[in-house]
Amino acid sequence: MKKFGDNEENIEESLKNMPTVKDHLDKDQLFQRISSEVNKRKLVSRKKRFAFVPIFSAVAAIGLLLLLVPLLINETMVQDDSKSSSDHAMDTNVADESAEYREESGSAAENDKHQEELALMDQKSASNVIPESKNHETIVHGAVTDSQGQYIIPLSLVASDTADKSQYYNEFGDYLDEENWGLSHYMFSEADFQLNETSQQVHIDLPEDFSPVGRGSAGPSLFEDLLAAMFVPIQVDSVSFNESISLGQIGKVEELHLQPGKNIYKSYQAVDADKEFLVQVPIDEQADFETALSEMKIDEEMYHVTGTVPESADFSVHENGSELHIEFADPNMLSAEQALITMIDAILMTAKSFGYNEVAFSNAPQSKTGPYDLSSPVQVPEGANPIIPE
Amino acid sequence: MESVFEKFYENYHHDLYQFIFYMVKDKETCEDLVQEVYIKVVKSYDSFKGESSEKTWLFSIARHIAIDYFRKQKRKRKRIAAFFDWGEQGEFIRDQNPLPDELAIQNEMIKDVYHYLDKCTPEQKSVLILRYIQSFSIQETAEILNFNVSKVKTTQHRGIKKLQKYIHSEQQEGGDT
Repeated sequence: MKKFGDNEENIEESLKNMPTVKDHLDKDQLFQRISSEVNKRKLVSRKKRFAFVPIFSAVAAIGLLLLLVPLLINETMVQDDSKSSSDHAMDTNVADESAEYREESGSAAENDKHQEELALMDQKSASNVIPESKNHETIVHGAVTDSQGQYIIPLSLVASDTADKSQYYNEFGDYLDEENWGLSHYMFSEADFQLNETSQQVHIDLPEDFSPVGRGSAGPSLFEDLLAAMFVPIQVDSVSFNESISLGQIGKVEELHLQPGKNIYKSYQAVDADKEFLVQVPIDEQADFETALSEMKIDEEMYHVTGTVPESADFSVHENGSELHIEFADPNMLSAEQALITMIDAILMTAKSFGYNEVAFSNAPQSKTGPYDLSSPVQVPEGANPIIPE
Repeated sequence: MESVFEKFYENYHHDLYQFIFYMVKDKETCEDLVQEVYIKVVKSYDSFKGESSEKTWLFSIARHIAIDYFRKQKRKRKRIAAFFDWGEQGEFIRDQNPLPDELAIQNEMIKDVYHYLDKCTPEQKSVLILRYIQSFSIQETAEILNFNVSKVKTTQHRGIKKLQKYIHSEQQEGGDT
């Protein structure tokens, strides 16, 4: 029979007396391994960069070929046509070939579309939103805070639509590189999510020592805002927890009703971080879109947040049901394309937060920029800050 | 690169090895992760701004790498559990790592504490290892884990309570038989 030695002091003593575990790593050998690994990784990253050139050339060559094939067929057709008038049998032949041509031209149109898509994909790299989810894809919304825990940064993980969404929520943290991206650690990395989209509810098992209050005075409200950023986009408005959690002044809760708040979108990039994000900045619930646009001009250097609308920009704003109409006062106000794309991204996300479905732009600096065709109304995006799993 | 490695190795290698070993409890994995820590250190030393001490910087890297390892293990376990339809039970399959010689000769209580450390969350485990096994101060522990001091205290207390709960129920079972 064992003695009862389980009091706290005994446990603390046992921890203090844990033996030193012998290390069989030889210093020189270890250094050799590290330096060869560092060099290997450098080489791989260089190779990866260069691999882009042959891949791009191959794609371009295939594209060119696909465009040329129908043209060549077309040319043959014209020759056939000129010869066909005297010979009936020949006519039949031509008719057959015409049918073939129609098929080919159909596929040529598809190819053109494919080319357009490729070009769009290329251009889209400058945009930081997901315009709409494609077939077989679904968007899983996550959220983190900036490195100082000031603002929410929504994230959109592009996932397969056949996969279990709860699993993506549980593994969301695995897709993030918070340190290199200049973000706070994902708050729910040890939580377990059970999502029920039919009943529009999610149940979250939080680790035993989880406390949003321990994360500074802004903890509880950030906690709610994070959950809202994650679940309001998929119409889930209620979150329940495995045990009651303390939310500062609100007190202890076992369930939270998520409220969509009004936000404007600015740009965030931490010092030395290799990624830029659209960041949500809360705005007064009563604010109109004109106020939002002028607030979007303000930089917040302290938090590494910059405005997404240039200081000199002026707009007139009208609303037509769920469509917002924005007219640029001066089409020459912005010449840099990237700045224009970021501004459109931010305006569209802000419009979404204000409840609009579409935004029509007029007198814009360019009618086409990045993935956007501003000559017709643009739908608000599915989500901001896409994360595409490797 | 060599001078950075040399400096960190001379000053902290022993502590680093112990920390990661007690986090993962497997010498081979420990060696791989220690190597990862040094790679990260030599690659990012240029961007180290001295806002914290080198020691806390090194250990926060070590902690991130260990947590990252746990996340990957968790994903792997879930996939395996789903494949064999173990469901929730997959989580309870005990690790098969043999007890290292240094631990095998210790008393039962130390062995129990060592064994039940795995029942703690990675955060509790980090605090217990840093505070007790490595005798780091509360302040140092807080800086490494990016916690405030009071969170270190609560996490430490909860970790001890958890160990106590498991050891108590095991000892009771031992006593009953």
